[in-house]
Amino acid sequence: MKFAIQVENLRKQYGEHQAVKGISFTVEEGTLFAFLGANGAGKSTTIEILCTLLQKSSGTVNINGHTLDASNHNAEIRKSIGVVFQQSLLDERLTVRENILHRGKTYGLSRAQLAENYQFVSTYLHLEDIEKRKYGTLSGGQKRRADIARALIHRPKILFLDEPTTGLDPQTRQFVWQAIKQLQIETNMTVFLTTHYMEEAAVAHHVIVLKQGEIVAEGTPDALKTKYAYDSMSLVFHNSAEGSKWLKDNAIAYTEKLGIYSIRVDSTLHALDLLKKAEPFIASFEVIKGSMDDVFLHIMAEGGAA
Amino acid sequence: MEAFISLVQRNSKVFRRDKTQVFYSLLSVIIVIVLYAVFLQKMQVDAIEQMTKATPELITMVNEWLVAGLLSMIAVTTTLAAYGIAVKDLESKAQADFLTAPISRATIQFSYVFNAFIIGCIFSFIALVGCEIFIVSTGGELLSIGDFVHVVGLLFLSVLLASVFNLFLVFFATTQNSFSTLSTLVGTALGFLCGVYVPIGALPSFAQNLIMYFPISHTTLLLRNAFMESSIAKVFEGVPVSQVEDYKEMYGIVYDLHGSILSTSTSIIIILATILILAILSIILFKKKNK
Repeated sequence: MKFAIQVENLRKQYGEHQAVKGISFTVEEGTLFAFLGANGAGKSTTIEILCTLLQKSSGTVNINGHTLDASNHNAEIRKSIGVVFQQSLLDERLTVRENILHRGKTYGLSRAQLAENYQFVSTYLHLEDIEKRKYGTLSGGQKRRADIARALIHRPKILFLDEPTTGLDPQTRQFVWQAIKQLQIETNMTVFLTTHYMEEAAVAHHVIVLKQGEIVAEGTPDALKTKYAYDSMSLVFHNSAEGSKWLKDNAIAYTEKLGIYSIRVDSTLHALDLLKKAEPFIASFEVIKGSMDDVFLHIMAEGGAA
Repeated sequence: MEAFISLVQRNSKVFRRDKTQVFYSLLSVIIVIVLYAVFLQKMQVDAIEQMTKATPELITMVNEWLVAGLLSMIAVTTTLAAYGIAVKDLESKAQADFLTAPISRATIQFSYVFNAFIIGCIFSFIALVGCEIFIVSTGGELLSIGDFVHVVGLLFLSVLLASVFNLFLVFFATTQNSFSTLSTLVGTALGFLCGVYVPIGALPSFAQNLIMYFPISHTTLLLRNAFMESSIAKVFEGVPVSQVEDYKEMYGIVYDLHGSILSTSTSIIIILATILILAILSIILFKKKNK
């Protein structure tokens, strides 16, 4: 097993405030790794440190075999990483092609290599229809495509994405997301992303949940779901009084809101079993599968007892 | 090196394609042209007519005076505007994107300086051609080859001075708001500090001293000398030397600082020393900022 990123006891201090409080984790090569957390959890700070943009206060970071902040290693690290920022940072008055090539030239690639790489990213992200247009005239989704192409122009081993889909419409979000996922699978690139969309984290190989600068949970999405999420069932009774009495009689814990009774179920089959028994009382029902949203909300509410 | 060239090209494109930015960088120059057309030219011609008879050369000489002032201002306003990209990159975090590539902050910073220098040179040269067309079309003569080379050399020097001078100023502008305030301030003050809006002799003596101590005004001084030398000789033929000296002092063609006339070489030394000092200060500021 090879690691693309190894982080040990990483800390970042801003005066009195500790933004990152000694976190350790590893990212396996060729995996999709998600960093989850509310705003201000330290996601961006961590990603900026890994991308050599911010100095860490202490701890060790190793990226693609190079130690961060060791002499001359940062340039090597920079050659092997690509970064997509939260904001769109390319030049509005330059065309997509100009933007990507100008920035591509800062990696010291040969002319032929750069042309080849451009061909690759252009095909991959379907730049043909936008490459001659000024970046400033593009829609949000087109900009994102250009941003990702720019981050890939030197064919990095690791792609960092800091909330890549924030602020995009659902359709564009899906497109961007699929492009990332496909790229990761086909090129076996390591993808490290931060997000606060749970469904995005759900397709990652490994997830870390960050809260106030600390890791409060980590594992595969399935493992996290098993641990923190549960299925539930909502019931509406013909007669609320009778229904709630039946629940009480059977010692089933519930919560009620606007006549909708929520109960926790261990599995869908368990729900079926209950439904059979309560059938005479029930007007309608809904079984809700546990999701990454539950994981997130649960962890955040609990304060993290991982 | 290729990374550096690519950065400079990018900076240059970003600046040139921002037409409003280019327009604003030329605004104070446009104001001078308007002021000149409205009354500055007539005022000067009237004043000189009292010493000698009005000839076509007189108009040419006064036009050359204007042109010298314009060119020295353009060097400053265009280089300053070019630094706007640096401020914008810093504020929009675009610099962070460059920094994820294997290039240093110093390389990025120097690409802004070099771009400002190139932009200053391009605009100064275009302006020089425009000025020559203006002078010839109003009855003057083209600069001789020797004078042309002399003027181009002085323009390089003024653009170099302006690039370093503005680099130093821009260290104090961290947002686009503060940068535009700075631009307005420089654009306004410059016309006075180079004695273009109002001739230096019309100002009280403390203001005169201020101008003489302002290094950029020495590029105006040198340019005026280069442009006007031959027409001054023609216009003031037969006029007493003391009167000619009075004219030169009144219109900032020579500086009389504490009773002695500054020589050309003194002005050049002042300019070079300023470049050196501001460059060193800028490097110190840059290092402090990026500790």
